Amino acid sequence: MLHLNSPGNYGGEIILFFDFHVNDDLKLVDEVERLGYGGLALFSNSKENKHENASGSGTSSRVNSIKIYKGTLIHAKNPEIMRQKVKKSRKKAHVIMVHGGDQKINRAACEDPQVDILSVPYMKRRDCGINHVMAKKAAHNEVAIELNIGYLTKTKYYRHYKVLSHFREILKLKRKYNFPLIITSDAKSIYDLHTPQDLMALSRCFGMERGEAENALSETPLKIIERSNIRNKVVVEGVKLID
Amino acid sequence: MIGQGEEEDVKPDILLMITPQNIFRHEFVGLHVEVVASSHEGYKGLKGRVVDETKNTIKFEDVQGNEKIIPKKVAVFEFTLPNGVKVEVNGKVIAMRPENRIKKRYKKTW
Repeated sequence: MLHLNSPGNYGGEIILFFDFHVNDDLKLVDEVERLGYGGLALFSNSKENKHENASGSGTSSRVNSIKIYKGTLIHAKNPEIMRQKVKKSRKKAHVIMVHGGDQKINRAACEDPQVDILSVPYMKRRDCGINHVMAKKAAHNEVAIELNIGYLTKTKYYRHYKVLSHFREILKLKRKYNFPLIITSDAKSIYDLHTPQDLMALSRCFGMERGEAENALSETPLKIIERSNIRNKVVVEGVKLID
Repeated sequence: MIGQGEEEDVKPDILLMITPQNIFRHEFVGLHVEVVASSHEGYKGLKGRVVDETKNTIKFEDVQGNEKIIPKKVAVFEFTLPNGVKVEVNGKVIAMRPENRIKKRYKKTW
């Protein structure tokens, strides 16, 4: 198999890139590996399958050189249902992603420290879905806001321009309030996937600098996994067990 | 005064009583503590046995027998429980009077 890229090597420092929104499919895992990623999180849409946590079931047992994490994508009608679903699936998945779009869901997700990623808060909206209040909360609770490249590439004309402007707006808030940002592909087929270098180049379209893009593809996913690993050891906020 | 024999009888109860789940509500006096992080570099690495506690400070005795007073809010402490388990506690969580710590409601948020 032809491997396009090895993990990024910048000035002697090796950076592992991650794609944290990939559909649960064996072909996609192989393709992500070929494109030079260090790991990925697999999601299966709970809406389509009607199984809350079916993701990663088939692929996690396979032996790959990349790290595969189990993710749960949560669709909720209102904040209360969202909280219930998050609580229910927190222990079963490494990554919990809430599907945004509704203002109330966006806010509830930003205020919940058990949520890892808020996905597409700008979906079907005229604004970016995040304001200064949510940005502060997201920074405090370490909820990453997703810049979904799949959503950008699938839109056309007026919507395409709107999505780009939403990304710019989110970036502006990120620079002020410093919440984590994550770039994902939302790939459902192998043709939706891009190399990390391509994503970094594409992110310049909405004013992201190289360092910011690297952090969004590498540092934020690593922090999410680190947080997921120590979650069992935390007794209450500020108190944790040491091995 | 508690005799030697009585002390041995009491010890197993203490082992059961202080756990990582209730350390922030419990009495610290007598526990071994180490400052693992602090905004003030000079506090890092200090360790000893806790001898006293106030609302904002912890007083402990180091190996040489010197008493050190550390402000709680600027430090992260590592307590060693009687059964040997180590627990890291952020000073901000315990920055109140010991008798008031049992009243506070702590919530696991993440």
